[in-house]
Amino acid sequence: MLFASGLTLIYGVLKILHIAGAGAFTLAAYSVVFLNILTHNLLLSFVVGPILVSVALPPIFLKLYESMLDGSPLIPLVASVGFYIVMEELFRLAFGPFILGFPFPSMKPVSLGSVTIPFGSISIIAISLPTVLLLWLFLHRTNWGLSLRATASNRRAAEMMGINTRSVVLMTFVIGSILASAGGVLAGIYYGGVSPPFGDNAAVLGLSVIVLGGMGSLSGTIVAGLVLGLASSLTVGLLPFNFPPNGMAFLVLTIILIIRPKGILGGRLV
Amino acid sequence: MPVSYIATIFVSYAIFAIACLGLDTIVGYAGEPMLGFTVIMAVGSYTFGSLIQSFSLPTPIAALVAVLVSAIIGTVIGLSSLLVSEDFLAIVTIGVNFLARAVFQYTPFFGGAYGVILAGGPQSNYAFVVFVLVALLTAFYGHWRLGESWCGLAWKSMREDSLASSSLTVHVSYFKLLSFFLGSIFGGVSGVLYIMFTGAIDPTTFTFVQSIALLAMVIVGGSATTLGVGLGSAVLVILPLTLAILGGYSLLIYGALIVIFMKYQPAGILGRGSYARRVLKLG
Repeated sequence: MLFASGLTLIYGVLKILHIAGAGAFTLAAYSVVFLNILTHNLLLSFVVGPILVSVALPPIFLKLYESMLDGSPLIPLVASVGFYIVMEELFRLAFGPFILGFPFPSMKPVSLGSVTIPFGSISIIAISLPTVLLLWLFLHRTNWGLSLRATASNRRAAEMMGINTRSVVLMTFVIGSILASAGGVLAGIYYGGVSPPFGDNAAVLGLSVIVLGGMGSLSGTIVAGLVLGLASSLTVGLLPFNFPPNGMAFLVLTIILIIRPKGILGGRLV
Repeated sequence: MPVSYIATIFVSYAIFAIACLGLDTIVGYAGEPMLGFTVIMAVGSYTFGSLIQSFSLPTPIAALVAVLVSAIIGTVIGLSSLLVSEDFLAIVTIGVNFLARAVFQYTPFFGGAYGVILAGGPQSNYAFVVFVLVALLTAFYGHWRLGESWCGLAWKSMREDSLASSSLTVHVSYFKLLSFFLGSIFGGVSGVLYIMFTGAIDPTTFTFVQSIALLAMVIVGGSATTLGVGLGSAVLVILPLTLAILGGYSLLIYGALIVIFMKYQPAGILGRGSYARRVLKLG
């Protein structure tokens, strides 16, 4: 969900389907693993790793998309997939094709009556909710958020109002990368390991969450993330035959789009 | 008689070129983002394979039925283009990849995770190579004719501005579906040739990445131009085969090339307004 809200922001501002963002997702998880090996300090690696990623990647993304913003939307999409292939291969060359174990103290699952919740899920909830809240406050209560929303609704007009849209775009990529890194680290905790194709699923599901929520609508993304997650995990058990959750998510997506072609909360920007 | 290595490369090029020409009918001419074109190929392959395996139909009839079925499935996918447009359609067609994969993988009729294996094995004789060559030339001619016909004219006007062209009595919904139908015929042919060539398919043959690869071939070459699409698929089919000598680095360079092409020649090598077209004075 965090990753998807990052993608939504980027889509809202640039109208780019940013698949390469999944590279930030994977890289953040790897950086935590490696900082932990280097420093043996869990807290440090969990904080510094994602920050490093969010500083290093945005300028590269900006350079990548800079000249493509005004053409056909398929061009940045294909470039993005190409770039993601490059990143995935670099991970494979740098870190090896195997799954690296994720450093985390094994905490006991928490029991609530008859329900047992694994620690990974708790940390996901504990981090996602405040982050989404902070993101909302940033977008609606600060000047930077205002200029970001202005750029999203009309880039040319925002430029004429004296907003430096280039730096807004850079800022969007920074926020997007922070969200993606947070998502990557949480997913690392949840699955207990990281491998080169770690971000594949996130990229595809993240995109479908954007669409389902109504493109570029942040609250829609959150609702859609819930709907998609619940619908796919609930219906998988009901079907007579085995269906992968990924396929299920897209079946739900298609059905909802037929009923509401603009997404669940479509029509509003960011 | 087994065919030479060069002939093998040619056949795999021809199969992807036919698919790309079909994809370009949808993406290049009609301007509809279609990111699930391997699904059409998969439908063609699977229908052909299952018809031969389960009902032992003669090859020509099975091939005809397979192409027809893929055209129909393509049109059904095209129906979604009437509901949603642009980026939404792009995502829906991405989703189709995963849906199709799930269906093929979890339906026993299609052989589940094992896929379909042709009893006759792969075709490897020069008669097949000549057959593929004829199919490729027909596809080139068909794609070029479609672009020059009244139909291509309607597509191009619709691509530039669907509202304006519908006010000029172009029936937009009809032409959108027509592009999906005709494009999927190419896709079905390419799928049938694919399974004849390899002798076996399984659900991992046709993936989302493969769909993107097809789209990259179209865009790298130059969309909406017959020559460009032919060249783009040649570059992106033959490059990975020759890059194989680089071992682990081949996919890295492949991805980097796509990025570089998109960055510096977004119109494609032979697309409208590209450098090569100006130099060669192709207009």
